[in-house]
Amino acid sequence: MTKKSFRLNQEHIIGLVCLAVSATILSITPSFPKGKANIGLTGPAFFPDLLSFTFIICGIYQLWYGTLKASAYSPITLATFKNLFKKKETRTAYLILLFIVGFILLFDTLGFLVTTFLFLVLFLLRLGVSRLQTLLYATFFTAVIYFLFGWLFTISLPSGILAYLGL
Amino acid sequence: MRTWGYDMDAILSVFRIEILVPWLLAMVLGIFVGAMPGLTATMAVALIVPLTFHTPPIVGLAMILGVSFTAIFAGDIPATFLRVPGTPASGAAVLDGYEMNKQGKGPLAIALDLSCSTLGGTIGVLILITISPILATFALQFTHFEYFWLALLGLSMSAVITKGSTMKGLISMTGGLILSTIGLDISTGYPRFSFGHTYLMSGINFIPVMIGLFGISEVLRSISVTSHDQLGDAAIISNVKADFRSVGKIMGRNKRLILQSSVIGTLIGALPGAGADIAAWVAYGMAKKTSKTPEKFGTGSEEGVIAPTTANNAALGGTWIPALVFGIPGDSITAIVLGAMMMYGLKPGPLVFQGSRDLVNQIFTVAVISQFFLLVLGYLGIRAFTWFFKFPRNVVLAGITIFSIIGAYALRSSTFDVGLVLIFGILGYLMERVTIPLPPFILGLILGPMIEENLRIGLVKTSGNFWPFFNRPISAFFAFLLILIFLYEPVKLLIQRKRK
Repeated sequence: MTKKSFRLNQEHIIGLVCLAVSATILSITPSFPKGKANIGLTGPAFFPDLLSFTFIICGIYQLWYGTLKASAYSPITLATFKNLFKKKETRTAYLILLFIVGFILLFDTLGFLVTTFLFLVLFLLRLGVSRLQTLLYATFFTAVIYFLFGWLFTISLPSGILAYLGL
Repeated sequence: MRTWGYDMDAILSVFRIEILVPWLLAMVLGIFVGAMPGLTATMAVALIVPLTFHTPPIVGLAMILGVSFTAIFAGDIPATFLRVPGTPASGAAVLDGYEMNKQGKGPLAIALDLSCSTLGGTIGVLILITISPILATFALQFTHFEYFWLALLGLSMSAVITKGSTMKGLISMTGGLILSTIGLDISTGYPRFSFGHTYLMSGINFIPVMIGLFGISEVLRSISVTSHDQLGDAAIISNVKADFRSVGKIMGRNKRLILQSSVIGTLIGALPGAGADIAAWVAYGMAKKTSKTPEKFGTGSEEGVIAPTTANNAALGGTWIPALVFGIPGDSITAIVLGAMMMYGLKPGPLVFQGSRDLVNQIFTVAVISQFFLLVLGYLGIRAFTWFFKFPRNVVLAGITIFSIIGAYALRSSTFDVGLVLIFGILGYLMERVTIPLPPFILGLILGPMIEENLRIGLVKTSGNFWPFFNRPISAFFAFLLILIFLYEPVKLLIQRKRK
């Protein structure tokens, strides 16, 4: 009889995340003020604790289910993480996330027009759109969004560096 | 004593050019805002209200009614073609609408959607006109105990109806509920999980979460798929039109479902706090439960398109019932409406039916006629989006991303909300990779405060005793329904096994 070795799969990961979230919540909620039990007033920790216990049950179920149905899922190994960076398309997706981070960091400083235009140029070029089309579409989207949000809906969009240039 | 002649005069008075023009323009704006991911029907109404300050009450109310009807439908356009619900009320329409689109039946799905939205809206308005006082009285009997069960019922529906494992639906729902606990505690004002951050103190707004989960995660998925999938997506995007050829037959086959979803939508809409989004989910769940082919739901089922799209527009008529009769908002849109009515010098409540009967008749007429306008403007709206979706796929992805980002920013003019879009975009992408459904998460976030508030206030009322949550007739009925939802499938399987 061969002994089956434990192999981590995605169902285990879901279970572990549920348990980790529950543990985090349960470690924070004891610092919350207590309710007044004599008048049935539950404290701020009551509902998060209730949800944590639900998450613990879900987590334990997922760990059990992942072990029971281990053959149905591919095991997670070091190679799984290496594969995350292999495909060009996947790397593009990570880069897009980085562009959004850059957008958040620069939006107030550079302003709406510059940041949006730059973001779109980088985004479109990375996705293989030609340079001329990139410039056209980036200008078009920036103008449309400015017209809709800034002009029609009168939402305050930051001017950023353009304000210093008197624009 | 008033005669029919007076009423007819009031009804015909809405067809004046000074009412028709702003009314139609508002409906066009509703199509545009509703179809834009991140901009909700509530936002469209909020944008319209300042424009109605200097108009006669009926002009303002016609604009508000018109914009809300078209915005709720228009939310289904990106839901069907891009898998990005334009408004929260279109969350349930994504499930089968997008699946139909993937099978090349997008034009049929959107035509069915528009026709059902119009019919559902009409039935909802007719119910509003005929039985509004009775339903409003019923809704007024509700206390915290009933609202607790009602919210839990709507939420549980979303967890049970999702594709695949119910446990993963439960995990998603609980995740959303946990997220809803961030911010100031409703009873004590204690800041929970905010870590001293001002934005976290006011809680997590569902709009950036929704944009991230449904919008950015879809962009990430589209970018990271192989070239084969890219071709498939391009075909979907270039196929945006409405195909009405077989709509009549399909609707004829589903008469009972349309009526059922319209009634559910109107009833739920009439319950304060429960709007078009909950109505759509409950109608979808009920349609699945009562269907002869429930296994087809989530795979591009026509019934899965009919139920939520009929119910969400029917709910709009329902939300006006408590608003008009008792002055209680049925949802966030009617909350704005009540504010606007007070601004016009009107006091919504039972007396409005006597003191401002002409206005009530005009409102009812506008609501009915708006449905016909919706059919025409909805069709034109779909055609307009054809032009947008004919852009190259990568350009459309860039457009969705930037509109999602700016839509989130526009909420509070804060990059914090853009950060949330990014975080929940990644989370949504990962959740989909491990087949955890997204809709229960967003519904958990929306309904979390309502569930917690009613549970805790109910417990305060009973000094910590849970029994009143079960021994009141309406509460007991909702609790029974909830148990039935969870036990229905296992019991059905058990009976089938015994028969074999």
